Amino acid sequence: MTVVDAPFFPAMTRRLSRTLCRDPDTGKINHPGTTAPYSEMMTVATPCQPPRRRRPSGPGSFPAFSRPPAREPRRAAAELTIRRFAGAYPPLNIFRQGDDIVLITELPGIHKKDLDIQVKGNTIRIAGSKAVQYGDSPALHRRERLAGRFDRAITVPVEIDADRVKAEYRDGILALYLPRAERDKPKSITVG
Amino acid sequence: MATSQALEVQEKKELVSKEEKTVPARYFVPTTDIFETADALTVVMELPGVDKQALDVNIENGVLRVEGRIDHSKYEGMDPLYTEYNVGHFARSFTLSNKIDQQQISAQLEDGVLTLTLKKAKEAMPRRIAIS
Repeated sequence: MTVVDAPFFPAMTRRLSRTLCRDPDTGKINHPGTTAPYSEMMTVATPCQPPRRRRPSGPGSFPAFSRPPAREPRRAAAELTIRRFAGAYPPLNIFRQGDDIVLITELPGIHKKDLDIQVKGNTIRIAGSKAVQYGDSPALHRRERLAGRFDRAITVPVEIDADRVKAEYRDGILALYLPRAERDKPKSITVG
Repeated sequence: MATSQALEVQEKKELVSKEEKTVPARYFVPTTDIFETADALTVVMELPGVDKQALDVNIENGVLRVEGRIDHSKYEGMDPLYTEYNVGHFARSFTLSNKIDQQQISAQLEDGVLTLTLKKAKEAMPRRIAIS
């Protein structure tokens, strides 16, 4: 666990600048697919998808008279799949446990020494590389596992106490326990 | 292996099975590499979150079946705020050729990656025939 001082590396600022993308039609802020009510507070460093193109409306394009081409539904389904699953690696699940935040991600087959986790303020960066090895002179029958580098930054809505962060890597799952900083916690005030 | 390229997110495929389960549970297909060397067939599977005790590997009627179960109790007491992937058990099966020596199969689970080494049967190994 490393805690970095300002300036935080430039790659992250570049990513963070892309986090809030407004939909040009509705003016709403786009968030990657989520239904959690709390997620409005969540800013996630995932590149936003381009807004969906609307079918032109106007005279001559009334749905009852002009049928869309037969390929249309299939393409729409493909777009939906891409939108749901494209994103930064590794995919993250974020939970709240009391006051604290728990970040869980699946990183099978990564050595602990190849993982680099940094925390500053309310931003967490997970970087590393994954290697896939095959035996000597192999005949490959099936190749589905991917190898490569990854670097992802995520901002959570609370400030994290970087000194008390715990990282656990077990059975290919990385869990980060991010305690909320004392100074960020709300203070209860008694009416005198 | 070149590791300079950026890793892409792989969609977790849900298992479509003909057999039905009595308990409703989500099963996913683990990403798998299969390669063959001169004396063995190696199956490498990614099973993140599967403990050694929760892993079941068996061969029946020439079908290799791997099932890994996730401990959902670890997620108790946690409210999801933001999710990008689904959590579920893993299952996948492969039909083996009869070249495999079914007695000599070794399995190793490390960092969520299962490596199965299936030794080839003696009669299936390449033999050098000396010409007299």
